[in-house]
Amino acid sequence: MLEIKDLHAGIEGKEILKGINLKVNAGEVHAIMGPNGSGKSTLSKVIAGHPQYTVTSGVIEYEVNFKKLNLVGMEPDLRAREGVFMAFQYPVEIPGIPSSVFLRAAFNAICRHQGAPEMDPIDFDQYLRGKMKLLSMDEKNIDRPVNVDFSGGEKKRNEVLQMAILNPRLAVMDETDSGLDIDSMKIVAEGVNKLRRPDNAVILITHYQRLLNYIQPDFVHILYNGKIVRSEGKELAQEVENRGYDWLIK
Amino acid sequence: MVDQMKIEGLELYRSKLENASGAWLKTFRQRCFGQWIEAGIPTIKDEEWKYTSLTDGLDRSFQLPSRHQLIEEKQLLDYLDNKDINVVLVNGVLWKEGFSDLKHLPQGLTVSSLHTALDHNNAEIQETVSKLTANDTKAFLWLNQALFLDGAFIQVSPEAVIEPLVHIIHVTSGITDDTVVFPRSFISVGEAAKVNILESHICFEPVRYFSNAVSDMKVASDAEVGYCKVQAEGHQAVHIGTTRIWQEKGSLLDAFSFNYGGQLSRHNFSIFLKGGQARTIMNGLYAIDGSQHVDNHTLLDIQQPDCTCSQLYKGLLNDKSRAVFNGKIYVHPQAQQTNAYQLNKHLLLGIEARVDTKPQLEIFADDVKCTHGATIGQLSPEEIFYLQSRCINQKLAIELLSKGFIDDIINTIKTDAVRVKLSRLLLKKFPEVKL
Repeated sequence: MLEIKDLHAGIEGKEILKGINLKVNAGEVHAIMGPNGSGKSTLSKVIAGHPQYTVTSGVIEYEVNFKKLNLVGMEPDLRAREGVFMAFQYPVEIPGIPSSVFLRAAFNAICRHQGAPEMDPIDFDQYLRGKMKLLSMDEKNIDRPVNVDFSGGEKKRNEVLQMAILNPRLAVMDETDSGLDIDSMKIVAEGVNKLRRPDNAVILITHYQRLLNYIQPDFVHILYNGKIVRSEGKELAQEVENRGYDWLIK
Repeated sequence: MVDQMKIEGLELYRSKLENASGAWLKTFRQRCFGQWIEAGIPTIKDEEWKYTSLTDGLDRSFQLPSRHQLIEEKQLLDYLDNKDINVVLVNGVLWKEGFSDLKHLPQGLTVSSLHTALDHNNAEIQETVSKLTANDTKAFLWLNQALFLDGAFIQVSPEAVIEPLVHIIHVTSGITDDTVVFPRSFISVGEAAKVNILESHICFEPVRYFSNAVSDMKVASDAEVGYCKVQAEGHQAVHIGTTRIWQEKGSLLDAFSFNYGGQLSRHNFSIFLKGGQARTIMNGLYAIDGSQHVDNHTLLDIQQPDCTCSQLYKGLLNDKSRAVFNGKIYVHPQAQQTNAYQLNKHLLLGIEARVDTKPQLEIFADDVKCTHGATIGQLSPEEIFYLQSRCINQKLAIELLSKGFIDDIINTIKTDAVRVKLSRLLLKKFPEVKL
């Protein structure tokens, strides 16, 4: 589904990713761990297409519905319509736009892209409320502006809600666990687990191992100084939890 | 030597007006005219007019309105709502044909001619209209006082609760190019009364004119008032307006100023909190495009303790439009325990759009909580990226975010009938910002 080959990227002339290679197949969950400043968030933003980051070389091959796309150079909204989703570490507040309006605009953009009929506000409202229930979210938030005055936990849950609505093929979750108490983390993890299917894949970017107690990864990668320095099964996460990162990067 | 405005047939108009006025009003008009002549048209050398030049707008020969006929009645009917109490004035004169039946209004509400009220020696309004306050347009206040034909006089009795929206509509209609009109209103809300008032300045004809408006309102103690001024003048118009509101003890005022039309507009809006524990919301929006110029000078004058004020003015500027904001909050020495907040935010969509903003706090009490600030900017790239990462293309993302910027302030208006009208106007001007 996703194959990153020798990816170099950076911001304002400073190279942060220094040759990333990563292969993710449908149905898999990959965890990317690493100390602060190793390039984890940069990787997620580069996959999603954040305009501030420049890819200097390498490709991000993404295969969906039997077509192969190189994500590098594609507009972020086009990547999203092709099924790439990024859950933000710091979800943005959008004053004045109710969640329902925002999510319907997003959902219908996918419908148009796929040549499917758009959903009208009444049907969408039903659909949205159903997904909110699934994530134990307060339905009052449906008419509130996106993320405005939400607590940290509510914002993260809202990211998972958006993921549920948009039904992506590849979800990149950038430190979705950061700033969450244990209850919120359980709800978020449950939400992600419910959305796992044989035909989609998840990349979990995390600093700590604890989220991986709730979402079991198939592979764990350690990112350090812009490179993946080790890739193993889920036991690696526990080892990092016990021993820290130092032994991996010496 | 100051610049004077050229007005044709002024002497005849004045003598007719003065002959039709009672003794008090006649003297008042004469005095104001003298002050207007002495002051002349302000120039950009005047600190208060530094960013707003009147040269292009007022350097021509003006006519005075001679007819008061409603030409585009259909468009007016589209604009107003039958559920509201519609008080229509055409070129400054009460339009008594059709619309709301002003003789059968809800109990506690009366609408009459301001000219008559002044002639009948109503001391309360004579005293109020004679006031000159710190934030008045001075020259233009005097000009209006000297030459206004008539106005709406709205009275709400103590403890009356007026359910429907009272909509005062100043229509400029049936005039030739370069006419000057003098809309005027006076609103008096009695103790513990409740009312929502919308005051619209509107024109449906493609003419060039100057609207010199003055509105005064007195809010008695414990009254609750919603007030919104809509400046939706024709696109070639110059609008200079002075609005003054005096609030007594324990009253609640939820005010909104919406600047939308006109080529050049200026609104000097002052609220005086004369009584303690008064609460005031003073919000505003200017949504402009092309080469429109809009200037807001606001004053929140807090004179007594325990008052709460919040002010949020937002500007949406497209093309090469230009906005000026000068907002002052003045806290008098005895106004302890004041809680005041002021914010002025802009969204510049046009590359050549320009804003000059000056939020000002002047605090002479020592135990108060006051904050202020101003922002000017384009949309944040982080917000645009967030929407793009949710499948929304860049163009639609910009439209949605602009709409969000506007709705955020429009949604502070609690009266549905007012909010709907403003949204309808906005949709006409920024059709791309719909959804």
